[in-house]
Amino acid sequence: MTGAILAEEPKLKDGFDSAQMPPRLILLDQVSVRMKARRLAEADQWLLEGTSWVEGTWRASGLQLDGRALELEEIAAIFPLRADAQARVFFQDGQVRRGRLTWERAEFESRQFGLVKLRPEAPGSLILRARKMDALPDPRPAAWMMDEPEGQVLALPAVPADALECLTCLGRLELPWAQVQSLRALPPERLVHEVCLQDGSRLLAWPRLEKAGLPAESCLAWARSIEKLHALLEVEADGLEPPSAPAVLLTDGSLITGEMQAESMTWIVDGAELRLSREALSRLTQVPPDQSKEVTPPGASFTLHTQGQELVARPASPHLGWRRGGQILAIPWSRIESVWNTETSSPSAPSRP
Amino acid sequence: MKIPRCIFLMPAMIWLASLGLAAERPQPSVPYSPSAVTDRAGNEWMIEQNGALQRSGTPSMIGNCMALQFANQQFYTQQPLCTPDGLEMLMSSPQAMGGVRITRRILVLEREAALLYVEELQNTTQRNLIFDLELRHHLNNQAREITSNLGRPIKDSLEGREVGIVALPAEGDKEAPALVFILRAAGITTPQKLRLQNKYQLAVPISVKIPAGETCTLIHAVAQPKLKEKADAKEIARACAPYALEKLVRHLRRSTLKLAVNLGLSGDAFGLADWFPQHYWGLAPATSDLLAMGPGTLLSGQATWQGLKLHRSGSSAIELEASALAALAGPVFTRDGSAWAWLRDGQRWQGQLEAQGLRFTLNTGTEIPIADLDRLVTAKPATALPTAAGEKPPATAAQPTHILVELLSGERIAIQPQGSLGLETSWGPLQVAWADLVALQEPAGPEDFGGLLSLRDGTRIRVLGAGTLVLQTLHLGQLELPASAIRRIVTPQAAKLPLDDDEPTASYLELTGGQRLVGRVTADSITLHSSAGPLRLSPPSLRSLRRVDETNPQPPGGAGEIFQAILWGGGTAQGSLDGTRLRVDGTGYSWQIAPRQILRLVNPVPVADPALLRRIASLVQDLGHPSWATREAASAALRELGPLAKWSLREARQTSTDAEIQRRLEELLQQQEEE
Repeated sequence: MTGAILAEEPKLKDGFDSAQMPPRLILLDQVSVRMKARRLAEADQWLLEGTSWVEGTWRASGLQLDGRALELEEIAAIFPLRADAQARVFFQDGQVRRGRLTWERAEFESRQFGLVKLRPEAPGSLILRARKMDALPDPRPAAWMMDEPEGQVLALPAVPADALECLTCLGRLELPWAQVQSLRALPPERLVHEVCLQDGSRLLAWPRLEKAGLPAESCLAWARSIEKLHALLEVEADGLEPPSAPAVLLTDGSLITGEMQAESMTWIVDGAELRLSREALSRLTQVPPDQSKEVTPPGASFTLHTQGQELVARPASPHLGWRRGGQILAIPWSRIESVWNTETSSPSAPSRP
Repeated sequence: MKIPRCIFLMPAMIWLASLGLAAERPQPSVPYSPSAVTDRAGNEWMIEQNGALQRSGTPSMIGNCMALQFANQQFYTQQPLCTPDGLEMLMSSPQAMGGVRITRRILVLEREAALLYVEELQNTTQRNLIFDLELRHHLNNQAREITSNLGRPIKDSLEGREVGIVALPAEGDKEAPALVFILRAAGITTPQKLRLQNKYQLAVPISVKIPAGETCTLIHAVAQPKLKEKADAKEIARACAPYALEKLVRHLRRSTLKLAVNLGLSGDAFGLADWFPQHYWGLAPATSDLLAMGPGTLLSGQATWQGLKLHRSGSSAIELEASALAALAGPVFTRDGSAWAWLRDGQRWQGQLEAQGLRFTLNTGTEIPIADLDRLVTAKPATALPTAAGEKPPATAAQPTHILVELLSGERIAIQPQGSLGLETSWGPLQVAWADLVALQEPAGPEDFGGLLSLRDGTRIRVLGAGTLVLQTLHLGQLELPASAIRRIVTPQAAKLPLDDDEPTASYLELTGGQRLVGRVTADSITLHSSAGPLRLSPPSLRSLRRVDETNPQPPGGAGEIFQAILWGGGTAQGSLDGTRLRVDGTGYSWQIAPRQILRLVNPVPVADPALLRRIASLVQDLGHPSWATREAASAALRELGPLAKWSLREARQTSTDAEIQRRLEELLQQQEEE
């Protein structure tokens, strides 16, 4: 795109009224708030260091980001970065990219300063006027991801076809991407990603994203919608509610929905063997080992919640067989914090952002 | 020459590390006057001149807490100091009390939202002392409940692995956060006495043995986490987990930690006490064998048997030898029909016990046949004496003599290392030669993901097991098992490693998750992006690169993490790495590390650059120049190069015959020593 472009008044073109807010460009709005600004429907805004936001009209031609031609209508905002005259460009469809921004000509016209020519190496910060079609990309992306550095947000045309390889406390798991709802890096000190699946499972894992061919070196978050992506970055990870479907909660905080594989299980209760059917158990909770005096033999004990009764028992088998979809997981008992075996009355699913 | 704006030459003295605190912290040097500091969680802390906490503006349970009392006197100080940033305070008693000089250091850990107290107790006498002190806490309101950090309501002591006290706000005090006092590390399990009064006051009496002329430290912490109104034990435990002393003390130097009486670190950084315990299932070995027969019955005597076999699942029957057996637990104890054998070499096996002629002869001579075994602990081995030939006696089983692997089942098995150990890290797979391995420790709590692998070169990496592992064991044949079934590993190296290993002599990166990679950053340059523009620095020119926005981390998508570089040649620079990953090459790996994971890069020794060496050699020659001005300029230039020139200067002192050069070299080296 090389011809001169005038930023049209979307209010006239689309019949868009400033009182009627367009779909939000969530991340741009977030950054704008931090910069003490908000998008307007009727004017572009420009900020140079040491000044306050000025309303007016921005015009540009021959725009390129890292050599790729840009349409003016694609852009929602431009913020300069420290690094080597790079800029962070917020796009009208919700994407955010960084790179070297160049143009043949750009100017900002305002009542205060008249017509000012802008240089690519010092563009100031620009927030362009809101448009009715903001955040309504067409075609709709299959997924979104936020990448390091500086929070690039990329719209992905497709979900990877293969399985997502995840390293978990249970070993290596292959999760079909079709089941993956979202993933995000928890704060750096946790050194782990949270992977949320369609069936309500939440796994803490090291995902091998490099094998998935995602266009990023370091994926901070991946989700199927921009709203979800935003929510992932806003909400903290902790605070699981009791799940509404059968699920096993691991000691590392992972939650895996599914069901017990065996129809019945043998438990050791005070030296006696007790065989309990799957239906008889509503919940199992690991008893914290009394490490103070080391007077218990190694191995996990569980409080079994049966219909109206509780008893403490040790599992006779080394693993819990857990059916998740078509897969059977052998989960060592010592990795299990609790198991919910029946649907609870709790209306909420495990709280996931 | 134009100096970039981002570089500020700073007097090296300012950056001298505090005595006990991690390197690169400024020394408390300005007078401290009490004022409230706010942590990242928004809690205000009003710290008095003597380190006690007073109520501040925000809702809190603090009345008068962390008051230090000894011999019925309150600790006081004349002129407390603090660092210019107000995040560290130093309070010294003006004179020794009861022969002990007390220094209180308080660190405001903004990021962790906690205060860390280091009480340094110096025995100024020529005799060993037992010093009694007390920490007193008065709450602002009566607490709803006072529990341990594990959520157990407390009456008069902390037990077992409990490490702290939690005061839960009363129901009418909804705004106030809980108050958590962490008193010790989890490795110390002896009961800690407490005195509670009406859920309103609590006192922690502490007795410290201080050898003559030596210093001990007592490290503890206080935090104000927000808890649910009716938090249960698990929620309390989870809320307290981030304040584990093991985590908070990473701000302190190893030398300080080594002096700590309440961290359980002395000589046992890898938890060997748990592998070679003082008690086997509640029974301490004595001079006779001990036989437990249900609750309340414990007999002394000698156990004998004709045959004792353990049928372990997946192995052939194992004959248990009396000399190797430390303890045996039978079905009466396990209640599941199985038995456990604990060997002197640290192994622990589970199986079905087959005993022939198992009997116990009391010290009085009465003989009891044992049909159903509860617990049997064999007598302590006699202390071996050196042989006539002067050979050392065999090592007693207080440390591993082989590599021991603990499985999730609780079994501990000695292995013969073959090949290497394959593990997964967050950056990719890792093959570790068994000879390089020191230990694999399990995560300390739910906050940690992956076990912590320690290598001989000082590297510590979070790892997970994946795939299948084939282990050649010493006694059980070949074992094939999922790598994820391994909980812990300990090697003989764990008992040999010096404790002060936390400052490797080679370059290293300190990373999130308690990780440290001892390796080399292989990039040609590291670019720090400051507000004045990019600054390219060669990795060897960095004395350190330290994350400085830890207390105010960047939001996702915000500007990159801010680092401060301290240069070997003098000066500092600050800026962002702008997401540039650092490539690190270490033993068996080459990984790209994202800035968000980096806490610190350290090059402990300057790397000699040929051009710089030539310049130093030329400057040394100029020290003997006929012109006084040239000699002065050379001295000034060498002084500015600081530690970077140290080795060259020492070398020149050995070889130079010029008296003026010698004099100036002495002067420069002396100045460096003083700094």
